[in-house]
Amino acid sequence: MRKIKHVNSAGLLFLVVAFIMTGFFLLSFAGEKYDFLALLFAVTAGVLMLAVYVILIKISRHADRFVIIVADLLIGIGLLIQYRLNTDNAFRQLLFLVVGIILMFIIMALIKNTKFFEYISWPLMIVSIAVLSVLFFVGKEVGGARNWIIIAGIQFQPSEFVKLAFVVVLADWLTDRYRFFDLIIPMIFVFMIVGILMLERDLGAAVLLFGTSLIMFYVATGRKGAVLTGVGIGAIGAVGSYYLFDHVKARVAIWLNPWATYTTNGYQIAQGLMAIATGGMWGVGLGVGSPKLIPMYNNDYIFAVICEEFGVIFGILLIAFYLVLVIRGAIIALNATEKFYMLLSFGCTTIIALQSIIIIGGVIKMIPLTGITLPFVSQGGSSMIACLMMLGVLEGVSARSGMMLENRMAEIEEEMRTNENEA
Amino acid sequence: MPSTAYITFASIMRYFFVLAMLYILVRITVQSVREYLSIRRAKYWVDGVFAATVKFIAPEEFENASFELAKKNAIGSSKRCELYIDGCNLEKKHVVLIQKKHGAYLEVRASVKINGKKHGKGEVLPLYDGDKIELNSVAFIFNTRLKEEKNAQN
Amino acid sequence: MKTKRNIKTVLILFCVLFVSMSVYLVYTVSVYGTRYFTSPYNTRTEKISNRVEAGKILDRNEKTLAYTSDGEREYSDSKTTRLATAHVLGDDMGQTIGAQSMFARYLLGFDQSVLDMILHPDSTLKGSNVELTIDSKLCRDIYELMEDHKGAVVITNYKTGEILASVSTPSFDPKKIKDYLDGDYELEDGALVNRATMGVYTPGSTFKIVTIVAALRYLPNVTEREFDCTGPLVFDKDTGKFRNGLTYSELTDDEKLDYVYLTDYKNETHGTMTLKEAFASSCNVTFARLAMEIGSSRLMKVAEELGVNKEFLFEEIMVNAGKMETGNSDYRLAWAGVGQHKDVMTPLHMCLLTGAVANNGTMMEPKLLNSVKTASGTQKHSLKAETYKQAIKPYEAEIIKEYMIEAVKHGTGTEAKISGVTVGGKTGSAEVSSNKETGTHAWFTGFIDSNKYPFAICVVCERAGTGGSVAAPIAKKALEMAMERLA
Repeated sequence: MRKIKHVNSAGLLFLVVAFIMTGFFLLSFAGEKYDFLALLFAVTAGVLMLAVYVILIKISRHADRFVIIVADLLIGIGLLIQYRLNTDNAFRQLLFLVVGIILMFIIMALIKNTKFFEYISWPLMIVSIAVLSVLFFVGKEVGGARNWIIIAGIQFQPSEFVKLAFVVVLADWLTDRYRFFDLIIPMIFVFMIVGILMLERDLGAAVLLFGTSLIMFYVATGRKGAVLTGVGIGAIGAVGSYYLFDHVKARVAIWLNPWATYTTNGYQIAQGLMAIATGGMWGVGLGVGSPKLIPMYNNDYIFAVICEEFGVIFGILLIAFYLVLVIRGAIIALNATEKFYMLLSFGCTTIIALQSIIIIGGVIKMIPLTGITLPFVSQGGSSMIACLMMLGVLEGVSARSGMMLENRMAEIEEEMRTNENEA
Repeated sequence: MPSTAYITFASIMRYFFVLAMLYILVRITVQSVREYLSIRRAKYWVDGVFAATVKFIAPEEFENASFELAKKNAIGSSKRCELYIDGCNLEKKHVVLIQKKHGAYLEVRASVKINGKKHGKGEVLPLYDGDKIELNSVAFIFNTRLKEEKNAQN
Repeated sequence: MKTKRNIKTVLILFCVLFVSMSVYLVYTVSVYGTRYFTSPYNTRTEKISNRVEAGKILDRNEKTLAYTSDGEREYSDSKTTRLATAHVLGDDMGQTIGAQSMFARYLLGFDQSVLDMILHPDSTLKGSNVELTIDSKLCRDIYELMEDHKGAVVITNYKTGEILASVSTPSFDPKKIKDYLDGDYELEDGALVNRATMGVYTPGSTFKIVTIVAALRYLPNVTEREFDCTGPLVFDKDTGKFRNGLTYSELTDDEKLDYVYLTDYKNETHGTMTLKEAFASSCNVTFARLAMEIGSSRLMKVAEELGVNKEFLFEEIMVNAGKMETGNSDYRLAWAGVGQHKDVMTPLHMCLLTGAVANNGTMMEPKLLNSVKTASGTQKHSLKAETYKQAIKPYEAEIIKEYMIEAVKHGTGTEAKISGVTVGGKTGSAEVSSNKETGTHAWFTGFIDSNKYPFAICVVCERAGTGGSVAAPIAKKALEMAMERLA
C-alpha cells in the first residue's frame, strides 16, 4: 500500500530537548547551593516532550512534527526563563502545560476523526459573548484591563479561549459564503466582541481579533475592496479611540517618547529598552541580568528579558522560529482538503503570527505597546493552554488531511488494480 | 548575586546558546523543506502529475512488468540510465522520456517506433496515454493518469 | 483555489512583518543601543560595577585620571586636574554622562572575548582600561584661564576628530559627588552641566559662518559684490516686513516708534565693503541682507546640512546640536541670519563646524576614545578617524577659510593672532537680554591653518563681553598651550 513518507525528525526533537537541558544545567549552578531541583525539572520537561511526541505520532502518522518541535523549543525556552525568574511560577507553568497538552490531544482527535468543530459555531458565539460580558461585572482588574476571572481559586483569562472560539466561528461562517448579506451575522459578532474587549480595555486582544477577522475574511473571499474598507474602519476606530480614551493617548505618548514620562508611564518601555541595550548582541548571560526591574517581566515583557540575558541575535533567532511556526501553520492550511479546515488552521496560524508581532513589536518600540502574551513563552496558564489548543487544531487538521490523502491514494491504487484486472 | 565563576561560565555559554539555536533553525528548515516536498510528491501522485508508468509488452521476459517513471528517464543499455535494459540491442542512451506537469514527451536519440510510426534521432514528440513505444525488440505502453479534462483545466 | 492563493499572499505579508521586526530590532540596538545603555536611569551597570573592578581612565599621555581602589572610585590627586576633567570623565553616581558612562561597557568588562575569559578567568573581575584623547595638563591650564568665567572651551584636531581638550566651567569635584548627594557639599548652579557639549548658547556673529555658506551656495557672484552698511535696517513693527527704502536717519521721532531695527554692535556703520571685509568686521547689516536674500527655506536647508536642528548620534560622546528657527517675518529671518532670534549652538558643534571649514569642508566625527586595553594587556580598540559628513563644499570652505584668516588678521579677531602660524576665526558677541547692562556671550571659534597643528577651537564666556576682547585672547593662549603640548 502506498503511503506518504514523513521525514523522521526524532533527531531534531532530541536536539531541542538537549538544548533545554543544557540551559537548566547551567542554571543549576546559579544559586549559592547546587540546585538539583532544576535538573529534576529539566528531566521532567524533557521526558514530557518526548512522551508527547511519541503519543502524537501514535495518534496520527500525519501529525505535523515541526510545529510540535518548534512549540517545544519555545515552551522549553519559556520554562527555562521562568525557572530563572521564579521557580514556583515555573512549576505552575509546567502544570498548565500538562493540562494544555491533554486538551491539545483531545482537540486533535476530535478534528481528525469527527466533524465536531463544524457544528458548534452558534453555541460558541453565544458563550463567547456571554463570557466576555460577564467579565464586565465580575471581572478582576489587572494592569488596567478587566479581563481576568477567578474560578475555584485559579485566576484565568477567558479572552484567551475566546480567541480560539472566534476562529472556529469565523471559519464556519466563511466556508462557502461570499455574499455580503450572508455574512452580516458574523460581522456583528466580530464588532460585538471587539467592542466589548475595547470597553474592558483589553486593547491587545481587540486589535488581535480584529486583525484576524480581516485576514480570515480576505483569505476566504478574496474581496480586496471589502477588506480595505475593514482596514479603514479599523483605522477610524483607532484614531477615534485615541481621542476618546485617555489611556490610548497615554499609550501613544509613551510609544513616541518613553523617557519623558520615565517615572510613571514610560518606565516599562524605557526599562525594556535599557535591558535589551545592556544585553547587546550576545546577551549578558543566563542568570546575570536584572530582569525584575521591568514591570511584567514574566509575561508581556518576557522578550526583553530574553534579549538581555541571551542577546539580540538570540532574539532574532527566536523571531525566526515564530516565523517557522507560522509558515508550517500556513502549509498545514494549504494542504487541507476541506475549506473549513483550511480556514480554521490558517485562522489559528494568524492568531499566533499577529500575537507575536504585536507583543514583540511593542516591546522593541516599533508599535505602541499592548498587553498581550508571547505565545508559549510568557508565563500564564490561560495563554499556554489556549496556544496548545491552537496547536491541537493545527495537528488535527494536519492529521486529517494526511489521513484523507492517504485514503485517496489507497482508493486510486484500488482503481488502478481493478482497471488492470479488467484489462 | 551569582558568583564570579558562574558568571564566567554563563558568559561563555551565551555563544553556545546562540549557535545551538542557529543550528536547530537550519536543520528544521532543511527537514521542513524535505517534508513539504514529500507531501507535494504524494499530492502529485494522487493528481496523476509526474505519475506516469510504462508497462512492457515485449520481449516476453518483461511482459506485464511495470516501471514507475521519474521526472527524467533515460532508457537504454547503459547502466547509468534510469531504465536500463540489457541484451536487447539498445543504444547506450536510446531515448529520454521526460515528464512535465501537464504531460510527457520523448526525446529520440536512436530510431524508435511510436504507435507504429518511425521516428529518428533528434525528434522530440509528445506522449499520450496508451501510446505504444518500440525500441528494437523492446516494446512498452505509456500510461498516464492525467485526464484530458485536467489538461484543459490547467 | 482562490483561497490557497490568498493564504500565500497573507503568508508573504507575515514574512515581511517578521523580517521588518528583526531589522528594526537590529537597527535600534546598533544606533540607539549606546544611548540606552549609558542612560543615567540604567541601574544595571551599577549592579555590575559592584562585582567588577572598573578599569582605569587615562589621558592621551597615559596619566591616570580615574581608577578603582578597594571598591571606591578614585580620581587624580590634583584638585585642578579633577575640576578640569570632571565633565569629560563624568561622575560615578549617575549625575552626569561622561566617559565613565559612555565607555562603561569597556570599563566594566562587557566586551571581553570568550578567549580572554577562558585564558584569564580572573579578568572577569577587572574591566578594561580606557585611554582618552584629551591631554589633562592642557585641560588644567585651560581651566585656570577660564576660572573667572562661566562657559566652555573645546579644542579638537580637525583632521582626525580627536577631542584634545574640553573644559566647562563652573565645574565640580567628582570626589565630592557623594557628599553633594548627601547634602554636605554645595555646587554652583549648573556646575554638573557639561557646557562644552550640552550647553546651548545664542551664537551671535559666529553663526555668520552658516549664513555665509548659504550665501556662497545660492547667491551667484556674491564674492564680487559690494555691500553698503550705512545705518540700521528698518522693519515694520507689526508685520516684520523689511522696508528697504527707508533710511533710519531720515525718520522722524514719531515715525521711529512704528518700526523695529537691526543694527550692528554699538550702531557702528562700516561703509562700503566686500563680502570678505563684511565677514572680517562682522557686519550685521550685510549679513541680515544676505539672509533675507537667501530666504528662509534655503537658509534652514543649509543649516540642517551643517547639523543644526538634527540629532547627533555619535558613538563616543553625547552632543547637543544647534537649533534655529527663522520665524515668519523678514525681521526674524534677519536676526536669525546673524545668530540671534532663536538660534542656539553648543561649543562643540561650533568647533566641529569650524573644523570642517579648516578641513576642506569635511566634518570629522568627534572622538574621545584613543584606545582600550583589557586587564590582561590586550589592545582592543584604537582610534580610527571617521568622516561624519562633507558638510561644506571644498571650494566654499576655501573661501570661508580665507575670510576667517582675514578676520583674525585685520578684523574683529586680532587678539587671537599667534606668531609663527596662521590663525583663522570668527568672533561673536551674542545679545541675551534687552537689559543693556547684561553682558553679551563672548564667542570665539577658530583654527590654526597648519598640518603640524591642525587644531580647531571654540571658546564661550557667558555674559562676559565681546568675543573679540574676551574670548579671542583666551583662545590665543589656549591654542598656544595646545601647540606646546601636542606638537
